Amino acid sequence: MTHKRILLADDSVTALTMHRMILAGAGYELLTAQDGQEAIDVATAQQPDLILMDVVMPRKTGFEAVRALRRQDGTKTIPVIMVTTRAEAKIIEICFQCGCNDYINKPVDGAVLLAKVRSILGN
Amino acid sequence: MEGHLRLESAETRIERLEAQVDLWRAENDRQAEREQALRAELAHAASENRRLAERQAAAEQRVGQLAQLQAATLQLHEARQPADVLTTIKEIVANLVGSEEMGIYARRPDGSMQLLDGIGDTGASDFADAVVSIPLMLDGQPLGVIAIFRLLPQKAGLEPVDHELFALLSRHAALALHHAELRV
Repeated sequence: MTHKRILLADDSVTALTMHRMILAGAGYELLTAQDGQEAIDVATAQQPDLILMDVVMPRKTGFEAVRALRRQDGTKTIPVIMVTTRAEAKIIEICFQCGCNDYINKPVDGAVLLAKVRSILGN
Repeated sequence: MEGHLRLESAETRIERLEAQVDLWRAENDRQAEREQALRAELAHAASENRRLAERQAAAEQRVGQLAQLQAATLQLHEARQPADVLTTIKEIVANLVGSEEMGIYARRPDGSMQLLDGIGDTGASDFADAVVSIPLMLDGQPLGVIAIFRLLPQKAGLEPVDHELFALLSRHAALALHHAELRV
């Protein structure tokens, strides 16, 4: 059985560790990136099935990274879930304008995260 | 004679048809009972399915909470340098608790507090306004305090898992700060 691969992009090692524990426990294969540019590089090279992208990151923000991914043929259709600190409507609107498929607010609830991932990747 | 036979034949046919109708009615009743039983079975299965889905969701939520606690512990133990310890504490409070304004304070020998690091406009914050203050305790002695002044807008309030995280921070963040020789 081939495991679905998820790219976790977050500059917080604590958040990466937590997301990795939750998703690895559910059987997903994980890739990581610690800034927006690295997320673009890893996504381009590895073609994950899904990206979990933080907004505030060095080098390139999550928004900039998603815009760049949507411009590339090889990455334009990879689903992206944006992890947002702010839950205001304006921020959510920007998420979708950039081409995100869904969003999740911090602090991330493990059950909500898994439900959103499964709704995109299936069970 | 012939008319009598035809009459008898007609009566026989009627009897046969009535018997057939009785059989169909009985079969119909059995089908209705079977349908009722299957509907009850289906309702029970649906209810059981909902119950299992709720249990799975609750279990996954708990797994997420335990992952929070484990990630926090792991990162605190891995932080060696003073700056790494402070960054880790900030990350835990920002990402796992969900705060946009907090401060980490060391206790001076005279009992006053010195701000080491924080998120947001911590310098202007008053301890009295803190949503929660987490004492940093080492061997029963207070080393300092983590004060959370503001939660993220989408966070309605503190939850039981937050208090588990505070208990963890109280001991493990104190130990990490102590080892990083950040005591004032």
